[in-house]
Amino acid sequence: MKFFSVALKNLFRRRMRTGLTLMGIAIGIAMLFSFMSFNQGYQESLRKDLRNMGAHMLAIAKGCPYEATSMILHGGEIKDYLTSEDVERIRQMPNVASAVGMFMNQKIFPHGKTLVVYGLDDAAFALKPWWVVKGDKFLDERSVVLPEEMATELGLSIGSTWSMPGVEGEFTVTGLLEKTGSQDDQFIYLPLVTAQQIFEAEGKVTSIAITLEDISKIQDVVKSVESLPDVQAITMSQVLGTAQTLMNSAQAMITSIVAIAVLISALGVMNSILMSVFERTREIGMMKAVGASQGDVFALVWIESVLLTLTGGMLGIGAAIAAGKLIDGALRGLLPFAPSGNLVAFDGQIVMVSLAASLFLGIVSGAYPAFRASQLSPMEAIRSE
Amino acid sequence: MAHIIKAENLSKSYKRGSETVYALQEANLVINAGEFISIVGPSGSGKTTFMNMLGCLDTPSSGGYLLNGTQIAGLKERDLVKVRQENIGFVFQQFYLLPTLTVKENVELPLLFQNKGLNRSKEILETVGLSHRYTHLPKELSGGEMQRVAIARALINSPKILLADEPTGNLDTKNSEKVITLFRELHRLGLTIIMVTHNPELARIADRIITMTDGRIKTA
Repeated sequence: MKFFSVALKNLFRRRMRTGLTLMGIAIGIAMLFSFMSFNQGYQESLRKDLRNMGAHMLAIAKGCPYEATSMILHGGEIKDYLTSEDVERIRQMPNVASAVGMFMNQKIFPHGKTLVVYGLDDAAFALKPWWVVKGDKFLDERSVVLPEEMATELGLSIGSTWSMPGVEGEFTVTGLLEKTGSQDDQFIYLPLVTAQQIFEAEGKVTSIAITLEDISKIQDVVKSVESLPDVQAITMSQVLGTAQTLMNSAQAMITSIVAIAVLISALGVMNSILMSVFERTREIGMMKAVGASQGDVFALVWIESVLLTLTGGMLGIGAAIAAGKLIDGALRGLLPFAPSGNLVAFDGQIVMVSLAASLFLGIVSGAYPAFRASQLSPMEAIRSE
Repeated sequence: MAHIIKAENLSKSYKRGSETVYALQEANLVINAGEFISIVGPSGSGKTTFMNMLGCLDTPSSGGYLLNGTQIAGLKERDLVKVRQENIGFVFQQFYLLPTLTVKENVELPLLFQNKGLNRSKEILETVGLSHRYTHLPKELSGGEMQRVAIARALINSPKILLADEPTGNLDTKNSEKVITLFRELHRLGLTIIMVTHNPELARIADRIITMTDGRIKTA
């Protein structure tokens, strides 16, 4: 017989109380685990989205950098345009391998859904070599390429005609973009010139995707691009930083909620163990009378507490993994900006950190009850009078 | 016969407001190895305090207490634990068996707290007549059986003295008799037994009866 088994068996004495305490710990650790998984998933998806941009940097019209970031990653309306001349000038700059003008704007459809329209030319397609387009890209000015899923939803296939609200004439679906798993699955692709016409912005572009011959020269290119009037350059690392800044306030709030949940569950453990110590005052007195030292009693109670939090932690981690998809969905609705990949991603390290946190909780919240127990007098057991 | 316990002017006092209250006042007592002693007295007579002192659960305010040649007065809790482990087996009125442990585990509980290789639980349970209850839980036992398990637990460390605090206080007549028979048997085997009770009938089975009133030993 070991201390461990005595402590474990004791936890089964008050099943209801042990169960409730476990639940408290499980919720706290599940929140902690989900939060860490979310952080990791968020960073990973953000990087993936940026890789999918296919460019090293972008040139856009001067404006709010937050708006620009959201637009770049998510699509959106931008009021200030660059011109075809800007594209040409940038293309001529040293170290620039290619500069592709892209046009992006949004249309509100009658059913209330906002769709982002992307205007592309062949050079823009070249930035996305991994795209698989079934059928053809654009055959004429009235061609449209749709993401496969969206086409299925709309009941369209290659050769179907499609009309855009508020736009005269019909479009023919010439190509379907196979699922990329990125933000690209949410856009409607039109020939650049057509998109410009629809939004009455002939010769204008919303952004210029720039690839470099030598990525180490990126700062030089940023300088050259920004020497153009009313043009700002955004590098991918800036986009990453800005998205992260947007996230920081949300993160601070989540951190405090998680901290409170964990603190409350720790207090729950302390309360539960302390109660069980008080209930067992005489029994603990007996143990001391039959030879338990202060350290022995301390250890017994401490082990109980750690067992409780470790078990609760494991349950919490299990629950958080099982509910990962739900959490992903819930977070997506709450965030100022959500990348398109998995928002929740965990690995062995996050599991280990969560377990370590459970262990730490048990050590901290069990220390005081264990100390109280160790200080009980063996005389408590003798009560003949 | 060599004495195993020698109490000299043993006193325990505590403050209540401005007055000093004596729970035990200048108790003198010598107990020889192998004796069976009863301590009787009304409530508040100091039996429990004296018992705590003899069992090394508490230290005296003044006076000396030699247990098996060791001076107990002035020892720290850490040392008292060792003395208890090596010398004393306790039997309580309320048994205090751990409900989640089996009979065997309850008997072996004191071994958890010391590095003793020897485990005689099987043999001891035979002595108390409960070897067939080895794997049972306390709730499956009668009161008398529970107390015999508690006695087995008290014996696991091979103590020199068995201290029993009102051992039949929670038992009916039939079960009390079984416990008393067991005490007699253990006494016959040479164990020193000190039993606190306020039951005069029970006290009479001892070799010697010590009566206490108002914190003092009346007859020794």
